[in-house]
Amino acid sequence: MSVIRVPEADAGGWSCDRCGEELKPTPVNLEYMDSRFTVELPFCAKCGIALISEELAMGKMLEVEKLLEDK
Amino acid sequence: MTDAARPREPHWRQPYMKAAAGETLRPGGFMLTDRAAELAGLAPGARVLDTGCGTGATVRRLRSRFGVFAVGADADMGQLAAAREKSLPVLCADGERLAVASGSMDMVFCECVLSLLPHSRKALMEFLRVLRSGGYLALSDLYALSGASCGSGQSCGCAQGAFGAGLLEDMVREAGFEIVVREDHSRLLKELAARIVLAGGSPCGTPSGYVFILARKKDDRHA
Repeated sequence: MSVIRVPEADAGGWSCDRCGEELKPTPVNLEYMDSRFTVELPFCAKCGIALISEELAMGKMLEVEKLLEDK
Repeated sequence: MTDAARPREPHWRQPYMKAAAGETLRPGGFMLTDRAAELAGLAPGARVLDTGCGTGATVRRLRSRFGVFAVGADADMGQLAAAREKSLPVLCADGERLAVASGSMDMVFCECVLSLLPHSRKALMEFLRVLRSGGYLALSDLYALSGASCGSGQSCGCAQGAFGAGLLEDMVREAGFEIVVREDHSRLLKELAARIVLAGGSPCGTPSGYVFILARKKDDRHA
């Protein structure tokens, strides 16, 4: 399945708090309840850590969880 | 007309849909296409028709993966033009009047399309006509969950024509098919709804399920 670009996950202007590396938009696999989604997120290639903003976590990701949980 | 009364455009016409669903624009992508082809024992050289083929993603898949002679049919000229740019064999026809000879097809695919057609029963009769005796119909579509209504108050594009649970199976049998396999794949629909949300769209609020049916045209000699 194709990579989903999430409008709220813009990497512009972000850098890694740990190493200072600039975050770049990178395909990341998100898994929840046996479902997998490949989403483009700001990512530090050096540390291997993706940034999920509070807006994304409490917005679309919460909505997706509810959809998959049938709530 | 108010926004609440205006029917929503079907998801497959929305710009976010390709990112959410890939080329097939339906739940599960090619998963159920491949499953149907494998269950039906589709062999190289078989004649296959994909109804509502859009830009031809399934036609291309069936030709490359199974070596069949697949053609597509769609009524949308814009979609057909995109298919022809990829040199795929497609014809302009709606599901109720396929410009194909009777008994000429080994298998017909109709994936996430039937509930969008204005005359679904006529389309099923047309699928039966173009199939040879013993030929297969692969069908997948939304079904409405009983008592559920759309939370947004809008007439939802994809779900507004969804069949009631069990109705699709009845229609398939009444058209002259025997059902070989019937599976519930509602999880695929939920996953697509989740992808639509992530891609910036708004899934239909009508709680729906998703069903896959493989049916066979009864043998004329034993009818």
